[in-house]
Amino acid sequence: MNAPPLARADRWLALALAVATTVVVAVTAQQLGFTRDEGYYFKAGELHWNWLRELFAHPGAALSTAGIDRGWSYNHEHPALLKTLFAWSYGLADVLGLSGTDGALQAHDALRFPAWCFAGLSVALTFLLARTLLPRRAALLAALLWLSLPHPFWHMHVACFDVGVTAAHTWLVLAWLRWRHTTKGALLIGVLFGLAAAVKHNVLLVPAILVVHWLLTEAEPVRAEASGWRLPRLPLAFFSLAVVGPLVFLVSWPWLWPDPLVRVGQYLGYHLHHEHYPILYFGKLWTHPPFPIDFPFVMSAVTIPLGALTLMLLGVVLAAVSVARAARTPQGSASLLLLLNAFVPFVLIALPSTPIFGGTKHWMNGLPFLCVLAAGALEEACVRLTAIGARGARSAFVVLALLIVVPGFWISARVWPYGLGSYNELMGFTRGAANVGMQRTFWGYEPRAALPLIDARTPKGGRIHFGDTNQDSWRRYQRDGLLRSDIGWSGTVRGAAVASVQPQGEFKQQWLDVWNEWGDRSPDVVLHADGVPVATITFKETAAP
Amino acid sequence: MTDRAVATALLAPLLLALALSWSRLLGAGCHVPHDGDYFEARRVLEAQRFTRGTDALAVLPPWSLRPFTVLGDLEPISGDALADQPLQRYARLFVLVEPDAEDDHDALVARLGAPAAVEQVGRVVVERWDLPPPSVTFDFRARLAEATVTLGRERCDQPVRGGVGCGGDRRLRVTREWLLVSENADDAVWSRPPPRGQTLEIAWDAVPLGEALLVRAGFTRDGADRARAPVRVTVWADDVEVGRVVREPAFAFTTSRLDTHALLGTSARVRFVVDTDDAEGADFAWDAIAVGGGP
Repeated sequence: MNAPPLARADRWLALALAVATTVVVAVTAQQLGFTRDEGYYFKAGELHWNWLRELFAHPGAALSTAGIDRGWSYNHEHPALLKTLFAWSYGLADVLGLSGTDGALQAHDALRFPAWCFAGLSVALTFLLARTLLPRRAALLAALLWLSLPHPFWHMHVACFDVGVTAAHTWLVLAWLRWRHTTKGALLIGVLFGLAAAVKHNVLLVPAILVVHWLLTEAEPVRAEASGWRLPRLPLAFFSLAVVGPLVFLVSWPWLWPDPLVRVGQYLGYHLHHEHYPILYFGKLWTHPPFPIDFPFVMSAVTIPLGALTLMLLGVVLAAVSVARAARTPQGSASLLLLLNAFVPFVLIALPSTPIFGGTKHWMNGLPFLCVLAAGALEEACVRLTAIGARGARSAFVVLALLIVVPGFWISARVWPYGLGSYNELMGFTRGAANVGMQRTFWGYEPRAALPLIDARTPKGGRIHFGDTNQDSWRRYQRDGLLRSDIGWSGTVRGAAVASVQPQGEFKQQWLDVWNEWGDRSPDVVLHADGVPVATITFKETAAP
Repeated sequence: MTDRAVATALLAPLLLALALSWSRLLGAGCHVPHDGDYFEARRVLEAQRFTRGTDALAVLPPWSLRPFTVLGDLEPISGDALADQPLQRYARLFVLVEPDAEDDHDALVARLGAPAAVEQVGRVVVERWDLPPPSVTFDFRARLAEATVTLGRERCDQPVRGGVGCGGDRRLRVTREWLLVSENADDAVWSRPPPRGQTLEIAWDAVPLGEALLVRAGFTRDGADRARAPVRVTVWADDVEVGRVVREPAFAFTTSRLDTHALLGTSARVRFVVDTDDAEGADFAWDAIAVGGGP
C-alpha cells in the first residue's frame, strides 16, 4: 500500500520552503564568484541554447550528427538535464529582455537560476520525505537542518550538479517510499530515475540500494514447491527502473542520440577512470590513490555543525536499533531505507581508489537522509519527554531545534561567501582548520569581491593572472560587466599586471611566483574567511596607473 | 528501556554538544583581527625601532597573510617552525601573534623564554625577544651571487633570476628564492640534485669560519613525493670534509649543525656538494650560515 497523501498544508509548506530557499540563495549568490566548473557549464548552457534555437529554426541540421555534436559534444562528461535548464533559463532571459545591459538580471544569474530552484527543490523534498515518516514539526526541522549545513548551503548557489543530484536522489527515494506499490507509481519511479541520472551519475547506484532494501524488508523468501523453486515476485518498479529510466535518460541527452551504446560507454568510462585532483587533508596533499578511507566521514565530522552532527548520529543509532528489532515493520523498513541511502554515498567515496577532490560535495546526496534521521531523533526524545509527563516538551522541541539549526547559518554567515572553507566547532572553525592543514578553498571562485579594485587599478590593456580561476570564468566576468573588457588573460605571473592567487594547497606555487617574480611580498588585498586567506590580489608595482 | 532512559540517552549528548557548540561559537568572533590592528602593530614596531635586515619579524600563525598587506615590506621571515629556525642573523625577533597561534607560540617561548616586550594591539599581540648579538660570520644564502657553481666539470654560469642555470637543462639551477620547503615557504637556495653519479657544487672563496655551520635543508612537498633516495649535501672547507647533511625524502626543512670549531678563525674555500643516488630533479633546497666567533 502506498503512503497516505500529504495534507494540503504540507504541500503548501513544501512550496513555501522551496520558494523561500530559492529567494535566499538568489540574494546571497550575488557575492559568489564563478567556480571553475561553472565556467564550463555556463559555456555548455550557451552552446545548448544555440542548438535549441537551431532546432526550432532548422530541425534537420540540428538533429544531424554534426548538429548534435556542435551543440552537445562540449562537456559531455556530464549528462544534460541541468545544463539544458541552464540553457533555457539563459536563452529565455535573453529573449524576454530580462538579462543583458538593460535587464534586471546578469547572464550568469540566468544561468544559475535553475540551480537555485533545485536548491529550493532539495529543501522541499527533504521536508516531504521527512513528512512521510514524521510529524510536521520534525519534517520542518529536517528541511531546515539540510538548508543550514554550511557546505551544502554554499553549493546551492552555483550552477553545478551536486545539489541538483542531491534533490534527484531524494525525489527517487521519496517516490520509492510513497508510490512503489502501484503501477502508476512504479512507472513514475522509472521516469524519476531517468531524470535523476540525467542530473549526475551519483544516483546510478540508487536502484541497487532499492533492491537491497526490498530484499531485506519485503521480498518473500525463496521457497521450494512441488512445481519447483518459487522466487519472490519482483516489484514492477524494478522493471520501470531498468527500462523506463534508461529511456528517459537517453531522451534527455541529445549527445547520446547518434550512437547511444558507444557514447554511454564513453560517459561511464570517463567516470570510472576519472583523474585525481589534489586535496589537502590534515597537512598532507593527497594527489593519488590509495586515499584515506576515513576522508568522507572525518570531513563530515569537522564540517557539519556540532549540534546537527550529534543529532544525526543519534538518529542513526535509533534507526539502527529499529532495523535490528524489526526490519520488516513499516518503521524498520523506513529506517533501513534512510540508513542505506545516507551511507552508500559515504562508502563509495571512502573506497581508496575513488577520487576525493571536491571537498564534501561528492557524498552530499546522503545528507538529507541523515537530516531526516536527525529530526526523527529529536522527535523521539520529545515524545518520550511527553510520555513521562515532562512539562514543556513541545517548547523544548522548538528551542532545541533552533539551537541546532542556527549555528549552521551562523557559520555560513561568518565566512560568506567562502563557504567551502567553513569548518565546525570541533575543528575550531576555519582558523582551526588552517592550523591543522585542511583545504580551505578550491574552484577559483574567490576573487569576485576584488574585481572592482582590479578594475580600478589595472592599467589599460594589462593582463591578469587569475590563479585557479579559469579562462571561461574570466570571459564571463567580462561579458557580464564585472571585469573591464580590456584586461587580458595571463597564464603565468610573469607578464601579468595583477595576480589573483590562492595561497593554499596545490596553488601555493603561484602565490610564491608573485613573491619571486615581482619581489613583492605585500599583497594589496587578502580575501579571507575568518582571517584565513583564500586569495591574495597583488598589483605589479610598475603596472599601477 | 523506559521512556525516561530513552529521553536521557538522546538528550544528554545533544545538550552537551549544544553547550560546546554555542560556547565555541560565541567565543569565535573575537579570534579574527581587524584590519586596523595590523596598522597599529606597525606603529608598535616603528616605536621600537624595528630595523629591516638587523631585526626579524615573523607572523603567527604562519598561514596568516593579512598582516603582509601592511608589513610585507619589512621582509618577514617564515613563521613555519619558528622555534627551530636559526636566528643568529638577527639582533631581535619581533613576532606578531594572532589568536589561534598557541601551539607555535608555546614552542617559541619554550625555546627563547618569555619575550622582553609584549604589546597588545586590538586582537593581535606584538612580542619582542632580544637575541644574543648576531654571530653570523658568513651568510651563504645572502651571498649566493659570489658563489661558483659547477655541475660535474661544467661551470654553471647562465644568469637566471636569483642565480645561475646549468647547461641546457633549465631545471638544474642554483637560485635564491622563496620555496615551499615549509608549509608557508622559506627563503632558501634551490638546488635540485643532479643525475646519479654527478655532483652539483656551490663554492665560496675565503669564507671566514666560526664555531659551526648551520645548514637547513629539505625537500618541497612535491620533491619529497618524487624522490626515491636521500639527498646528500657534503660540506668541505678547503680539503677538509666538515660534515654531511643527509635528507631522506620527507617534507621537513630541518637544521643540522656542522662543527667547525677546529677551523675557528680561519678562512677557507667552502664547498657544498649536492648529490643523490635516486632523487634527480626532486625539488630540494637549503640555507646555511657560518656562526660563532670568526676572524
